[in-house]
Amino acid sequence: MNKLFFASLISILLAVDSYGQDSTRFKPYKSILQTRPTFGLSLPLTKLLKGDVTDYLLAYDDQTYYWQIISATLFFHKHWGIECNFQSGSSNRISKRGDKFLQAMQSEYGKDYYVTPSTGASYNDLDMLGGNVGRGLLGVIYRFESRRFLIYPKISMGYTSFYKDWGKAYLKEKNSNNILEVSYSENGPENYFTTAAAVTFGYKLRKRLFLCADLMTSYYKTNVLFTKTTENLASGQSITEGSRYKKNIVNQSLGVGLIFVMNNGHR
Amino acid sequence: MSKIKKITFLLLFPFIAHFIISCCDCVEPLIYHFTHKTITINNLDNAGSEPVVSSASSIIKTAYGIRIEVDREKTACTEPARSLFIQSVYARKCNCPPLMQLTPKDSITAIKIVTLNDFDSNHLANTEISDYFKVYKPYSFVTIAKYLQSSKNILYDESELGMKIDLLLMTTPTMNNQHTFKVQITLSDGRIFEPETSIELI
Repeated sequence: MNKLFFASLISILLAVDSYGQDSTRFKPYKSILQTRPTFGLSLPLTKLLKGDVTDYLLAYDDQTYYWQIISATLFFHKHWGIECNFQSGSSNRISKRGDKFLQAMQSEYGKDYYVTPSTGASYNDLDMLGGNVGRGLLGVIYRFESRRFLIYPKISMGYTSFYKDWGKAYLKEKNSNNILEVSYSENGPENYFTTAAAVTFGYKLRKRLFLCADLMTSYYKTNVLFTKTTENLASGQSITEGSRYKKNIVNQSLGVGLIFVMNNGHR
Repeated sequence: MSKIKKITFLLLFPFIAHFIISCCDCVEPLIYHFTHKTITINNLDNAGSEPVVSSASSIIKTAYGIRIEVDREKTACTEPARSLFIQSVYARKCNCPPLMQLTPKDSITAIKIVTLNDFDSNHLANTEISDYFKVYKPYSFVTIAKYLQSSKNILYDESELGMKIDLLLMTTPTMNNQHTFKVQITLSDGRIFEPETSIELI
């Protein structure tokens, strides 16, 4: 994390050196269109994962790092504007969950059975644009600016999305002709309506380049149901049981980045 | 202008024709027959991760099975059907058929398993216990009747001539330890094979 911080600091200094033309003019409320690439951490105030094997079938983690590539803010008034952005999140746990599911099935059933597990999570590669946990928000932004500092409180709404995968294992009973198939199927939406309150603090480095820090609290409600079916392949008899992830999720995001002023007005 | 177009078309016609023909230039498949030649059975030990042929004198009764190995032989080749009007039957189709097709002269119509010892109170010596066995392919079980209905008749490779059928015992015996099973296999041409196998089920 320290390496990431210093790398970003160097990038910022280089950008400061090359970007912007007039460092003496920092008139407030001049910018009309801004873009704001940031990165940071999303920390849980409430947790979704519960320690079950089905946790590994969710392309989700309670704590993720995120990057925001797509962001645009349009000020149509001295103080008021609208903002839309898209954040992509991931974590080490998400990228290793396929292997973790296979290991979990092995350790759960390996004592009595020869286990042949598989899951769709093994085939999920990280999408650098979309990430594993995506969040798109559209909101209203208000701004306070001085010559050097800025504070942008905002409220927004949109969606949070993450994938769910299937899981399966064939269990060949030791010293027996008996074979069971344990399968997990998922049911539930991929997108969850999200509301968020956020504030951006900034320092103007150049006329068109600001350093910023984001603080955001978001809320959404998940409703995922995993159905576990255990079927005796010889007799055809099966047992089903459900595992539901229905929770109110509150996250706190902390991020840093840059604001690039794309268009200055004459207010 | 129209003369130039005609001349260009005539010059390009051989290349276009060759392109179309080369795309559809399928080789006619060789059609062979095959016949069931020999049938042998072996004891299967399914205590491990998959069933394996065992020469041991005893096997755990909950993990017992019988493997039927069928040796099928390729016989005469028949002439492929030809169209009167075009050289290739598959003209204008670029997905050519397999080079070889093996069609059966005879097929298995029934498999019965008979116990030669008392198996349980309902199945004494010389009674059929086929219902106690199921055909297993990873990872599915079917009854013998369903297996015979669904088994494919036309083969496309000589490596498919050797056939294995794994029958797993799904109901364990309650009488005796020493058992001999007779597997009666009836073919469509009237031949009947009756190999036997003995095992101590512990």
